[in-house]
Amino acid sequence: MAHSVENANPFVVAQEQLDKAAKILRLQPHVHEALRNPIKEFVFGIPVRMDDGSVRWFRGFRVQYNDARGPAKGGIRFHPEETLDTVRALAAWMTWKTAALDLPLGGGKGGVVCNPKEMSPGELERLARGYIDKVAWFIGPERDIPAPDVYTTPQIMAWMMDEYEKLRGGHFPGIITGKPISIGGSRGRSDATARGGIFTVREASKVLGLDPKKSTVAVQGYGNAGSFAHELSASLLGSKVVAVSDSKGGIYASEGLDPEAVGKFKKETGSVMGFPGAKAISNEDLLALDVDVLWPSALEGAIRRDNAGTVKAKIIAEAANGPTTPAADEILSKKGVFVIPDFLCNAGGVTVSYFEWVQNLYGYYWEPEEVDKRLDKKMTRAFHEVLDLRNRHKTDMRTGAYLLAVDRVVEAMTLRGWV
Amino acid sequence: MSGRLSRSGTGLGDFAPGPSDLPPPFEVLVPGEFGGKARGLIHTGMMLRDGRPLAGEHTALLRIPPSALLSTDLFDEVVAAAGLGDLLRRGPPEGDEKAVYDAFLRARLPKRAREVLREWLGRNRVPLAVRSSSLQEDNRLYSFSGIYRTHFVANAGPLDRRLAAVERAILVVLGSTFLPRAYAYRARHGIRPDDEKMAVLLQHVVGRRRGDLFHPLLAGVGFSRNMYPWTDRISVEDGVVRLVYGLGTRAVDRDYARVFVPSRPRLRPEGFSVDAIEQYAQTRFDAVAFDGTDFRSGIPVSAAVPREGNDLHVVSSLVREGEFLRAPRFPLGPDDRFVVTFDEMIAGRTAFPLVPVVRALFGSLSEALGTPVDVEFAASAGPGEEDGVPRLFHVLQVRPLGVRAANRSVAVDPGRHRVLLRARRVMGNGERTGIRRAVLVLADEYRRTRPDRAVREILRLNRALEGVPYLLVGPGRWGSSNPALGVPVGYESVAGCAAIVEVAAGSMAPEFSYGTHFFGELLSSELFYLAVVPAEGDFLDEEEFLRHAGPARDGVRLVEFPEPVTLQVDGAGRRGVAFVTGEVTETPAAPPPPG
Repeated sequence: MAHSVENANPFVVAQEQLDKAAKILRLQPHVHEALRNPIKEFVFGIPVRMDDGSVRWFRGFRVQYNDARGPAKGGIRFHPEETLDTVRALAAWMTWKTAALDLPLGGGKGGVVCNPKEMSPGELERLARGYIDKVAWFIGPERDIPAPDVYTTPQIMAWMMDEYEKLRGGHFPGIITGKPISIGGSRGRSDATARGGIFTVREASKVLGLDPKKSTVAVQGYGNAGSFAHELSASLLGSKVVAVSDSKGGIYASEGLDPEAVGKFKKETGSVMGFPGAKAISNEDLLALDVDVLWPSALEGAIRRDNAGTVKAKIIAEAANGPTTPAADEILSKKGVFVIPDFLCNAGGVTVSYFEWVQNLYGYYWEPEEVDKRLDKKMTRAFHEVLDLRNRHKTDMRTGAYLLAVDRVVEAMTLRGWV
Repeated sequence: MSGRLSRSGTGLGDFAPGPSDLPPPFEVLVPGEFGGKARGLIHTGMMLRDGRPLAGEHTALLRIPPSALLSTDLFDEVVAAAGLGDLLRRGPPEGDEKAVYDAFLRARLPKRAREVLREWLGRNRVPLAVRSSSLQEDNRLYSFSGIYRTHFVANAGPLDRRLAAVERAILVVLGSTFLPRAYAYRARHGIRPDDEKMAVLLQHVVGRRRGDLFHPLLAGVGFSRNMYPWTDRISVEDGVVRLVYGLGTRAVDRDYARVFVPSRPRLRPEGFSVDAIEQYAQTRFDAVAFDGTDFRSGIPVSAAVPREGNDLHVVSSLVREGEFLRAPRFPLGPDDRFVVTFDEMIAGRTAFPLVPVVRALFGSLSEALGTPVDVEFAASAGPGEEDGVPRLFHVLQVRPLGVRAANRSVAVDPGRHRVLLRARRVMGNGERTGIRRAVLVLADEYRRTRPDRAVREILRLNRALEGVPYLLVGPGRWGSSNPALGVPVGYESVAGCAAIVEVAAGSMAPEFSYGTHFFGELLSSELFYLAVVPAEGDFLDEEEFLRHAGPARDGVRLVEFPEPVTLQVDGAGRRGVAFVTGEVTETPAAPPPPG
């Protein structure tokens, strides 16, 4: 959903996307206006004692874009170029994502302007605790539940939870998700994004009459989502992954690539490039391969106006955020490519985050199989709801998902009497 | 025995002790001149003997491994016996150069030297490092970095076999004076053949035996000045350390090592994410081998069997759930992975005070030698020390840091020459003259092209320019994985350049993107990095580059300067400039920085 528009203010982009949906949904102006801005924003300074004894102030944000459907949910980013508008845009997108998945949650996001690469672990811990000291009154398991995001980790979540519990006096594991398992994290989180995507690819294959066991797959990007997409395409769907790539380039083998061997090679050499027995290809070549399923799992704007015409895949599974530009979207749509939009395809992560919160509130923890089963159910249902809307409105999956999400938020707001 | 220690140009001032002054860990086997490398170490040994507090309260932990010295007289005798004196003087031999080297290796040590060596080996049955210590090596001007190598001998088995192995290693070290790369290096630096002679240092390898391998728990190289500060939070004076598991050969070669700054030991150039830490962690190590090969390089760390009782855990962290690091504790979880981080030691949570010792040594040795220093060290638990934590800190080598070109002071002064670029965020130190090429990527042209095609063209040019120094100039972060932030080119594609220049252009902001590995490359290959941020007063004369540039191919242009270009980078003063050597302008070409 986070379309790459160079130099554009991301919040303006998010508002324009909403405007488009509002038009199709024929939202009344006052409802549309109520959705165009966050409901609550909190901007603050965080004093942190640095290792050399000096005190530095950091700028922090927490935005609860919309919590009509439930407590706000969204990560905390530590980034040197963080801005309030970026946080607002990401909080808006979280609102639509949780709604599209029909999770009983709203959308939020947080951030701190800092460069964690230039901070020691001790300084990071003090910053994480300082952030919670400032927002503790604003968040809570029943209000707003943060999670890891850019440059924040399970360790940082652990410190944040600890600080919150210290302030509140008691155990509140549901205050934050993405924690290590030993202090209330959920099993099944590591591959959740790719696994959720796999379920949507399985359903999309049914729609197109493709047999996943006979499908060929190309995966662009070999981070968490990409490497698990490779592994699970083979192990869950029985598909043949013929090409994968990372930032250095790609590899191709018509007889298929063994995920375990490629993963080991990448770990040892730092890249998939040079994997024995595979042909070297570029990232652009990979996008143009004649495969059934293409997973752009790396970057924003990977499929653009200039290369969308070369795509031959029947299904595009957007594991990355915003891998297809709006111009490319139109080209793919005309070509009849079935695009599973990012905020449906990669929603497995937030869904398992939701499961973590549920387990925390419940005080009872599921086995990995239970997590996977419930994830399948959620993703499959969301896929078909989006598909249904897409068919009824004769539009594409992305617009369908957007319409579904906005409509759900509007309904909650209406029932509450907010609009 | 009479002996002399050369005092020419080694940066050790008037330090020239007689042999009777040599403290116990040193034994002179062949008297004479001992070259630069031995000299720094002997000086350190004498200061320790005299009770100088080189590592403050931790000085009692300092040791120098037992060492034997064979002077350049041995070199003279072997060269004379092999009839190679003329050859050395004449310069690089024509024809099969390696054959000359091999001929040298077929020589034998003089009888007297062999006898002394036999006697010494009778008393010293531990693995040995056979180190070069040439007269020119390690002086202020020439580093000979990577030219003369250290050789390892397992030194096990019957005396005759050990003697033969050590003799051969000594000949290998002496013979390295005749390697083509040594001729080329001397010629490039104008060193007269007569001025170069080789002494040899036999040094006990610090470590303990693990199966058929022998190596220290950790080894490292520390520089008391850091010309590559990767963040404003550290300064040149803080120094820098590269640390590895196993033999130190990994720390000086281009491999991943744990890099830290003693004053801020817990900052890391790769950042703090577990993925990055794992990606840039050491995966292979070197060791002395008892299987007849003497030295084994590139052993996977995973082969070190991280199990209870193995001391790998002393220098490692565990990655748990694939997402967070913790100190190793046993039993291991099913998905736990060992990563060499040195985190526990660096954070001061082990009994071994690594960071305070290095920090104190930087200060005391720099002061004693009157110059910044470069220290090689190693540490290992002894055989009975079950916890695997080292008790002692062994200094293996000490040399003035000034020997490295990268640490001489540089005057950044283009005079009235036409300035091509000027930057204040720089890494590296030194001057490069005679640059006639640049590979130029302009932001506007890059945005209109397909990034993968630009990358392919840069790779092609890098290959075509092999051996030709060139400036690599482009928008944003070279090596970014995101093409919108910079050209996503792998390091190997740009490895041949003399300097990497990142130019701020709109949303494409310079940032050091290659992480530890790139940092290691900068450190070891003495490349320069310059970030040109025009909004902060930096300057790039795009017009002048374009005047000499060929047409853009996939957004990339090859620039051929008609006049040689000089690049001067002052790492300490944080400024760098490139200017056209031949061209003089009436007024300074670059606008003065604002404010």
